[in-house]
Amino acid sequence: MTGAPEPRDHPVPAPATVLGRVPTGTSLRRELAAAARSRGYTSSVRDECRRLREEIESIEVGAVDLAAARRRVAAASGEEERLKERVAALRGDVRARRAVEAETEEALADLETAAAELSNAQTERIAAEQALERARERAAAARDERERRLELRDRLGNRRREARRGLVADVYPAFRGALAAVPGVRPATAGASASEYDGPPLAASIAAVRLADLDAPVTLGAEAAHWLAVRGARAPEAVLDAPVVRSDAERDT
Amino acid sequence: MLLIVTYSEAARTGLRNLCRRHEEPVVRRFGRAALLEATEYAAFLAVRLRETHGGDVQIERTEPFNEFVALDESVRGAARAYANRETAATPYAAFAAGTEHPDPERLKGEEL
Repeated sequence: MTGAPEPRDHPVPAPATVLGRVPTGTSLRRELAAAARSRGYTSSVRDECRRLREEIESIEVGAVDLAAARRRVAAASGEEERLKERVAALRGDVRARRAVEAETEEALADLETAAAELSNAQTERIAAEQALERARERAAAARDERERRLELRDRLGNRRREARRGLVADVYPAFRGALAAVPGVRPATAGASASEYDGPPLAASIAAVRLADLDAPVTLGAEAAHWLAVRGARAPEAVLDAPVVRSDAERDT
Repeated sequence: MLLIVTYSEAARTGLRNLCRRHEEPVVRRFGRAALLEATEYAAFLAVRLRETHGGDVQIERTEPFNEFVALDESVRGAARAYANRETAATPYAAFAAGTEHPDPERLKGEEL
């Protein structure tokens, strides 16, 4: 059982993966970072990210499954309790028979058998507890590795955000320039940095694609095509500065 | 109480969501761990989280600590004296040497 996929280990997505489709469905920062990468910008922390990814991949995490050991302890403890009660009852029986001077041979034999069983059950319970303790020690080592992997993944996530911030800052002036070519958008809405951007997300996606240097054509969704059509007469190819493929939904409308 | 510790992002997110959805049994939350009340319902939530995330979820049972029950006066007194020592740089082993305070190696060998 590994739970949900953990995307942080994955290599950085190719620019065309992020920007190959409008709307992109991702954040302005990711769009601009992808555009920057497509234009050959690299992040100052790229090597560190690669090193972290390699380190994470090299971690071998042992299984942590103590359920069988816990179940064995529970079963052994239950059996021990049951036999303790049986021994107590048989002792009472023997005492009662002695009190009335009745025959005790059979009762004593039963008691002896039960006492032997109890002794075995106690041995098994102790063995089960020791086995669980050893399993816990092994699990602790495996958890150390899982903890280290999680810390590295967190660090990788932070470095990646840092890398994106740097790339975004690198291309933000160029992004403002690209935004000026998107019809019906005032470049002033872009502000001085990505956090100040106050324009329509779609306009930002279009400008990011225009800014990017992509190898493959860009798929333009119906709404995005409509958005462009009502704002200007220029062809989407001219605005995006890339070959455009309309999505199927667009041809029908 | 139940101590739940997570060891992956998915399990950590699962625990965070659990705590957000079920405020009542959550005694305290830490980054990727939480203390839950000792109720069957809290245990149900914890075991369910482990069913989903397997070895990335650790469940332990804790008990309240009472130093007046668990420790001799000599250990409590040593802790008090060491906390109030005049030379901050002295390690405990050196502090205890030649005094009536318990030897740290002996304490390490004593189970509570």
